[in-house]
Amino acid sequence: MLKLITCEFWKLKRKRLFQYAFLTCFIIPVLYCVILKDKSLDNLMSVVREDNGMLLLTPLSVIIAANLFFEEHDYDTLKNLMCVPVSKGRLAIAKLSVILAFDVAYELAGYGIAMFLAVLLGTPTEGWISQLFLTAGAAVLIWAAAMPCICLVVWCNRSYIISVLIAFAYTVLGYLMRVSDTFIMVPLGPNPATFLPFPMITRWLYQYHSMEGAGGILLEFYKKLSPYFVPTPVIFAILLTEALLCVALMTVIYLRQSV
Amino acid sequence: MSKYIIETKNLTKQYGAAKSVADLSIHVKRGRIYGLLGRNGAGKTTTMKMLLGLTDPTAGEIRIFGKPLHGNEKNLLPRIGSLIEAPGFYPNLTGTENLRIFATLRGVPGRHAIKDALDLVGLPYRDKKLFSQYSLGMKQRLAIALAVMHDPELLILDEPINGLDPIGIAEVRAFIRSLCEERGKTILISSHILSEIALLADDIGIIDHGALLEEESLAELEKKSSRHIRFTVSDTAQAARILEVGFNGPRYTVQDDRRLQIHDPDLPVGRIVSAFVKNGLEVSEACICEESLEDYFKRVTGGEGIA
Repeated sequence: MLKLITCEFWKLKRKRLFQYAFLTCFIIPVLYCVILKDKSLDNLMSVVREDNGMLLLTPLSVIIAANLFFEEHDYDTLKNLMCVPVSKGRLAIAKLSVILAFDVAYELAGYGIAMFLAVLLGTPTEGWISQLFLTAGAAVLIWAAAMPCICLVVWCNRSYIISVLIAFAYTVLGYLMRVSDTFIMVPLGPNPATFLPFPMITRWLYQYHSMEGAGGILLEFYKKLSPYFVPTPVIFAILLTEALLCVALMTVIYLRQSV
Repeated sequence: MSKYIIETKNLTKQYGAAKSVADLSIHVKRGRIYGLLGRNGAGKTTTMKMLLGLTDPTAGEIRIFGKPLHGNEKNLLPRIGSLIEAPGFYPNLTGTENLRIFATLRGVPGRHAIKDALDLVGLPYRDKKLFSQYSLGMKQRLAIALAVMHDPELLILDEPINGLDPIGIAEVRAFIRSLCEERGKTILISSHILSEIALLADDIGIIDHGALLEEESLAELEKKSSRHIRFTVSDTAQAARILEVGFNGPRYTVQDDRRLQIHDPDLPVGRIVSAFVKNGLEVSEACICEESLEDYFKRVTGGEGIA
């Protein structure tokens, strides 16, 4: 399996899509520092996890997945892999591992630039270790959150344009859900909101927000949302289980597609 | 040890109502080159895909190295090198980088295997040229390098000379021949070009509309397709009886009520004509005919012929 993952990384060499996609991790933190006044480390890191992560990384993960899955058909390399033999299931898992690595690297790069900007602007950097773990954890959850959409893209097995459209529709829908009370102010339990990735990530991340110096509206929102915060083991258990189901489904779909 | 490296029994592949391959039974012997000859769309590639487990047969059985392919893919496929349809590689990588991926996955040790494979097909090692910049001929060579890199016992090559220039064709032909003769590889090769198969193969299978029409050694086919004596007589049944009794039953075929062919051109034509006439037959034609391999294939494939 390790060999297969290594080979997946080798395939990325000279791929502009990956290079450009990775570079986008710098955009939002830099813009935030340029435009907004409040440049606390906590807010900077929230930008990395929420805006960078959910708004940019999610569609990028789906587009990259489409590229990784479709390239074997487009370049007619799947037959060579099957003759090694490499099973389609293992190949699918290797590709999803590459996306996980990309997501973690993307979020950690965002963390790096946020730290750099904080130091540059003289912002106190207390709590940088907990921010690092929180950002890495968010990367894993965003990867898991992208899985249903990747599954849909693999199932559609259509062009890149359709994959891009699906990715953006999924991201917008997810982003709207995470700011809607209907989806985030719901107790944990056997209800649809408990299984929606973006609202769940918001409910998990928000409990770690520093309320120091926060305004009245924000404090009131924090109080209102606090009964619905999701503990770390719970969110990881739910989203990773969903991701595993998607991986299994994707493997079955990929297996059924002809060489 | 099985006599056949590849053996199929009633192999069938059906897409909807159409049969792409129908009841195909081929037998590829160890250490020989087997040429699968057929027109475009005859079912050659589908057959090869089934032999490599790339597509599942609708019916029939495949045995490779004496074992059923189904369920033994993990053990059998590493012993096979293949080239199916167009060469498939990653365009953003060089030839060496592409081969490195497959060498790693196959567990081929050391860099020398990649270098040796590239040397064999005349491509430079560690060249900076990307696969997307390769000519069609270079792509084909790289695909052959991939097929032989892990030193397989069996090679399945689907139209390997596609896209090669005449010198390249001759080089690849000599290379395939040497793999068989010097390294003892068994090779299954497909082509729609008769002359190519005739130059390379030891055994030939003629496939048309998914069905195997003939399976013979090249020598046998050449015998079949070469010279014969053709008679046009008033009664072929009686002529056949005369041949059986008076000429020790030579190999002959009755084509219709009036025409009969004897596949032994060394028989005395004059004596046969005389015997026919003595027995009251009217002989309107007696000639020694020569049929090219191509004419033979045309006949076998029902007149459509092969390019």
